[in-house]
Amino acid sequence: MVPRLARYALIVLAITVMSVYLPFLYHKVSEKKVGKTQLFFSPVIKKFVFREMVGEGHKFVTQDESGNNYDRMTFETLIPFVYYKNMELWGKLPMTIDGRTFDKQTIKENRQVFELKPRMIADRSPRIQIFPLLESKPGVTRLRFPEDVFRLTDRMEFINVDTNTVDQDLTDKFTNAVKQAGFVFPARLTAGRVSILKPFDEGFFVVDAKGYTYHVKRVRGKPVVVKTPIPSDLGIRNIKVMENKKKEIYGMLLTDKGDIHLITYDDYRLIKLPIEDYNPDTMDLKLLINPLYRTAVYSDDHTIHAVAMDSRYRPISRYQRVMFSGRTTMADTVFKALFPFWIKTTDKTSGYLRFDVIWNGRPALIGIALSLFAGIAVMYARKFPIRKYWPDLAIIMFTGIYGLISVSVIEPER
Amino acid sequence: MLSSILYKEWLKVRLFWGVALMLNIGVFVYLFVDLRHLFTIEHAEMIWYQAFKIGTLHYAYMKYLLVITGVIIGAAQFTPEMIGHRFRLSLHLPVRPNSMVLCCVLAGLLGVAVIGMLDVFMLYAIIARFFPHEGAKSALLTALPWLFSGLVAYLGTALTAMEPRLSRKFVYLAIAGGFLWLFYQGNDYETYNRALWKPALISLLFIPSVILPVYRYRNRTS
Repeated sequence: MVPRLARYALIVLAITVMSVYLPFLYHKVSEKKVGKTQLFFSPVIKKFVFREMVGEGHKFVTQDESGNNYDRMTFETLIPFVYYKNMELWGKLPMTIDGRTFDKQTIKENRQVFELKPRMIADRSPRIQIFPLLESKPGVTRLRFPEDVFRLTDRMEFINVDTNTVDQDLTDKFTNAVKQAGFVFPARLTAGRVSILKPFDEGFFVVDAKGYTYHVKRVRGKPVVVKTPIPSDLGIRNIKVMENKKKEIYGMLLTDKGDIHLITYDDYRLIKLPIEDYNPDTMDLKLLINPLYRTAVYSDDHTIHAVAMDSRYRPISRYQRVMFSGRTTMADTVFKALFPFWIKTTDKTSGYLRFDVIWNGRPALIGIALSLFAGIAVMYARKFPIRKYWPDLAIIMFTGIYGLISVSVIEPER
Repeated sequence: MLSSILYKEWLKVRLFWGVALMLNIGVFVYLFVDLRHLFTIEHAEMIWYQAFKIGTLHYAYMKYLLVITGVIIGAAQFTPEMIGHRFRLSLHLPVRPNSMVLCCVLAGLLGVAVIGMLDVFMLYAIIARFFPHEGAKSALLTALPWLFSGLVAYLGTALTAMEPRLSRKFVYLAIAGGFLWLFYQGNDYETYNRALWKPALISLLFIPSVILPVYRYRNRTS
């Protein structure tokens, strides 16, 4: 009895290993290069236009939402604010759209791109909660990392990086400043752009224990703390700060409900983006701002959605399509028939690894049936009585090809 | 009798255990010297930025340390037994073979675990010397799957070494190697925080599975 249980323990281990690596190898062999669809709103024809890879090599389709085909050059001309450098090269600047004239400088100054990928969301990737608070007015041309970092516990604690000890003076100064502004420890969320490769520094947005959002900066070594009017019951899940010379928008705010708001420089007024069917846990989101329109484009592996907005973020057009990369291929169907399930360990939408069993549904019955027949044939050939070794067939029935390989290779003791 | 078996196993592996211990201590001494050197030639704020924001794992070269330790102890414990069929003598001891084998495995696991615990202590102490405790805690969480894989490496080595048939040895090696690699899927810090318990729990099945090759050895079904 004990050796039999030991054998089944080994079989479970073998099935676990195979359900990670066999699907992985299958994908390595069968995967084709199919890029994501590039979707834009054309300010010229007032329609959505897209470029999509539809096959190996460089097989693309370039169309508008009505199905009209374009060559590459025309496509770029339809979205001149994206390809403004080519427009300049082709002598098309300055250009007039809707009675307004745009030269290179105007386009450049009025462009901005915001991006939010699932991995960037605070709770979807590990992040050590230690941050450098840059000097916002350094008095020199470039930003520098300070010699201290802060953590938010029951106070705003600064640690000197050279000595790895708490800087008591700085800690008291900033803790008193945030407390005076009404901040209640501990913090729920700390959000800032930790980089010196940005035009200037806007410090950190910190959500306190009561849900209020504070804007904390270091200006000439002193704390500047602003309690923002952002509602405390908004349910803030993430804030992505994006310093930009335009100084119109501090960044993007994501709520627990999946709503996206822009935090403006106009006394932290929020602008809610009119996006529908957006799932922040699975979709990449891009907000493209140009001199005339704002376009939010968001997609998962299957469908791409877009909403074009005017300069006041009112929706003027919507579009969605199943991407070529989202269509089910023959390789996908064979995969589902061959493997009853697989263990997913990596997830491109998260910085955390997974170890989740993904079931392939009904098509897997084909693979299971074939594996079962093969299992019976192997037992017959090896003269193993089915009545005695029926648990092997039960294993195959639930695990398909993995079970077949396991019970065949780790054969029972006679 | 079981305590005698434990003592016998200790006598068998103590030299190799000592070598593995020295290897582990040596690597951590190097880690300390390396970090000290790094903080001498680089600005501390940049090193902290690399560690916390970019995700540079300054202690990454300890990744396979406990795996090597597990293989050394497993091989030292079971390979001599299999040479010249000495294992048959152990199987004739007045104790049930399954209990005897599990006792041997427990002894080896303890040996690996003690070094693993020491690694945990050394890693925390060294990282905490140069980084705040959040960094040291993160290093422990990051290294946890690597440390756990040491136990799997030991069990995989025991399983493979005790199997009498060569072709089966390769099968066990593939299972153990494949399982081991499950603990090396991440490249950033703390990537296993939410998932480690699942493969760790399943890997416990390696403990009863070592009984199978012993049974096969005893009954010569090879």
